[in-house]
Amino acid sequence: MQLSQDTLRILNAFAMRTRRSFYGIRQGSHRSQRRGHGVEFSDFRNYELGDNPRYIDWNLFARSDKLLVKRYLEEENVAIYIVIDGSRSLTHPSLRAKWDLATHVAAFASYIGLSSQDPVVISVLGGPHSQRFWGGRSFGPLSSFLRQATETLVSPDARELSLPEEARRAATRVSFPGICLVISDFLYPVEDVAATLAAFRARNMEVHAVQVLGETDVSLESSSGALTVSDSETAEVRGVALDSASSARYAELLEDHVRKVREHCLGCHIKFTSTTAAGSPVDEGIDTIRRMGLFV
Amino acid sequence: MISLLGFSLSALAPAALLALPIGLATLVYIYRARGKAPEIVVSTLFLLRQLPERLTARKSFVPPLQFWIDLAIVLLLALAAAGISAIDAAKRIAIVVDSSLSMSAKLPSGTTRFADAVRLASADASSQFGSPRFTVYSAANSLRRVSEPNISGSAAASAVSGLSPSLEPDRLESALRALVAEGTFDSVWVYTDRPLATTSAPTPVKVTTIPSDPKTASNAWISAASSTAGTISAEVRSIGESSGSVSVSGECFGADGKPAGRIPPVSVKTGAASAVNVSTVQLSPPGAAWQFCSIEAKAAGDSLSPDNEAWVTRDSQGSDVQVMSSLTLRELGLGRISGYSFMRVESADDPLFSRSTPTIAHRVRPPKLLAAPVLSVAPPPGSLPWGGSVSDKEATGLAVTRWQPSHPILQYANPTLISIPRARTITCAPGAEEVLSSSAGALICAGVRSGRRYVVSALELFPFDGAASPTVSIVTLNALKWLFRGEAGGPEAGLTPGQALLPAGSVGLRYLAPALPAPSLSAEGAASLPSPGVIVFSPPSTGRPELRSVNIHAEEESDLSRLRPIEPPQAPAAQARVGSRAPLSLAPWLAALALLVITLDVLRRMRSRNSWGAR
Repeated sequence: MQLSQDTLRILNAFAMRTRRSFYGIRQGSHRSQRRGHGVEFSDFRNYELGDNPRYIDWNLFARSDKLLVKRYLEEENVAIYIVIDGSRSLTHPSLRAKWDLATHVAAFASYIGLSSQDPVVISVLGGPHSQRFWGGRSFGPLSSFLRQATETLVSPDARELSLPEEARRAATRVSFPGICLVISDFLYPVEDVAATLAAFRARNMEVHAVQVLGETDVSLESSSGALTVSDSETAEVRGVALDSASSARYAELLEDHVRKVREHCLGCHIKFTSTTAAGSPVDEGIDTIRRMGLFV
Repeated sequence: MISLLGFSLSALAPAALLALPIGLATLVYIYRARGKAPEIVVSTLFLLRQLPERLTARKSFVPPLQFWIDLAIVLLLALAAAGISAIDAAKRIAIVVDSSLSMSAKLPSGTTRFADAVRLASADASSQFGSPRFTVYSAANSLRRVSEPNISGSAAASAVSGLSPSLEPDRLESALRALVAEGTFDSVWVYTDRPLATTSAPTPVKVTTIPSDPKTASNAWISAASSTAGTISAEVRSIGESSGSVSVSGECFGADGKPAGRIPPVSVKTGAASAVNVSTVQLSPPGAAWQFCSIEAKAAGDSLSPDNEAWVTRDSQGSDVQVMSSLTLRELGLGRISGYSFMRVESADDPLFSRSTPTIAHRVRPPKLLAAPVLSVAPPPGSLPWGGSVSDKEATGLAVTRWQPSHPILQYANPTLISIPRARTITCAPGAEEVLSSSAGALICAGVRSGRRYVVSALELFPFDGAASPTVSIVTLNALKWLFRGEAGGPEAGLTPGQALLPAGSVGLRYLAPALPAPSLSAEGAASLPSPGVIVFSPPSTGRPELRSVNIHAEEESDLSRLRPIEPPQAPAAQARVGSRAPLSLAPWLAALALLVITLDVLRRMRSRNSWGAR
């Protein structure tokens, strides 16, 4: 994935802002739960043997005759887990726009994270692809990884995938809690959506859900008043009467489903962002990154 | 060729019509294929399962509006490519109402033949089914169209009702022949007092004869009038009930048109009522100041009044007649005939030859243009310029087998005494009368063309046998009289109502009596004279005003007892009849209409923001 200079200039202006603090792996730019020797004062504690006398607050000792040691908040990096729904509902060749947008969002988030020395782990649910990238120079290998995943997944072979199961399997591989970006269309029962997201929440991660919809997901049209639809995952074919009333009914169903997913995410303190792959994936991806609230 | 809505449609390239079924089949196929529900891949059926399912079985083909628009475009373009043209297939009928003089004759019912003809024609025109198209003509000496071509039945009835009779003799045969030869009409309806001759040939002419009994017809008329040496000589004829006694009177006028006195009535006892009675009466005009007179014949039970009047101008100076012959006037015996001034010319190319001067063509081809009366004696073999022909073979020992005793040329003559050693028989022109005939063909034909009388004689009327003073036969004198001085009067008085030819360059034409507006006069001398009377004009040769009488003198019209059957012309080929109608090419209109439909369709799609083709 080659990003243009304009795209890079836009992405460089973003910085990741976490709502919670995590224990990091290395020194970084995010506030850590770990107390250490940062620049931001945290609190005092009694001096104990073994503490470095340099951290004793001598002014406070002069006033209170107590040896207290100043503690500071540690700034560490935060691991970013990007989980992409690799089911056929995104990787089917006919739905390629959704997959392109999903990978662009993943790439943009990865670029921002790598730029601030945060480790990025990309997992594609349904595939053997899970890889960790670290450092600003890792974007090239990350792009290659996404390209390889695209070539592998976007094939005409249909197969069914259980996303909650795949999510639990992916969550077991999480070493350090951090930011978790789940990119999917979430067009399956809300219970499964909840199970998928819960697998990552259970790992004490700050989960962000990004819903990527296609044009055919948003609106169905047919000049003949009917449509034969084929399920991208099960290859099941069904004839659908698609007059104006049916179109309106479908729009209502979709809106209701998205509302339920959004409400579930809200209840679980999960930031939910919905986007539609209707134009350029670069523009749509940047817009999605901007609307997520994770990157400012 | 097919008929549709009263039009016959034909195609220049019928093969292009094959595009119609092909285009229709293609459109149906495309729309059926398009009508199938398009199959698309969706992310999941999770939500779509809650929508009503559509049966996958094929539904009946219900074409949408776009199908009909596309079909209309294909249809219009195919028809335009085929070069469709239309011909109005409605039946076209010509209504010809005989408006000649005889049609003014009264019937026992009190109406006239013309009124009956108009009534019948109106009724026929307005009661036709199938919306035929009519064109109304009035036929007398010439055929005049009196309505717009191809009008409806009601309009034709209205046009017929507006007709009025004329004072001219009829030339129905030539008029019908011209109409039928034109090929424009499917049928020609003729309303006349003349019966239809029996014929077996198919003809588009339908003749409606106004019922009238010639045996009981009654009429008295003045067939000739002239003045000589201060007296007026009038020839009075009568038939039927009018034959008992005819009273002839008159009134004379001065050169200024003021009355100069009346001529006392003279009663003429004519004779039996079974035939045409001819009487000549001498009238004495009052005083010496008269210049022209009006003579009127009155008889009991007269059916036709316009021919009772004749106009006579005073003292004819003698007729100028040019003789085209290789013989001298003396050899021809013309030097001793009084009342005529003969002048000899070699041929029509002679500088002295004048086409407006009465002519005797002796053994030469007569002049082509009949601008004055012509007597053609023993013309050379071949076609005659006014119709008819002369046999190539000269027959000998001919005997007269048939003649018309009432014709003025045979007046006082006994045709059975005529010996004919050799002659080239002639075929009379259509409309001309066979005055004298033999077993081998006609010998003398007399007719009227362009308002001018002519006589063609196969007999040698001038017996130049070397005698010092040849004797001119009574038939010759009658022919000269009929042509140059007789019914039509002399050349100075031989005008009939209608188109007349005066000397070129004449000016000052006006009616001296009766008081009528001045007729039109062209530089060539063509004048339109509406009614009998006396006209005055100044010819360029003398510059002095000259009087001319205008008389009807239509023998065949006044003689109501004479049956003159119409020989209907044969029908032209049907192909020629239809082909004479100009077809209207519909291809440009169809192409323009297709373009319009396409434009409207594009605008409709732009407005509804639909895309082309399947989505």
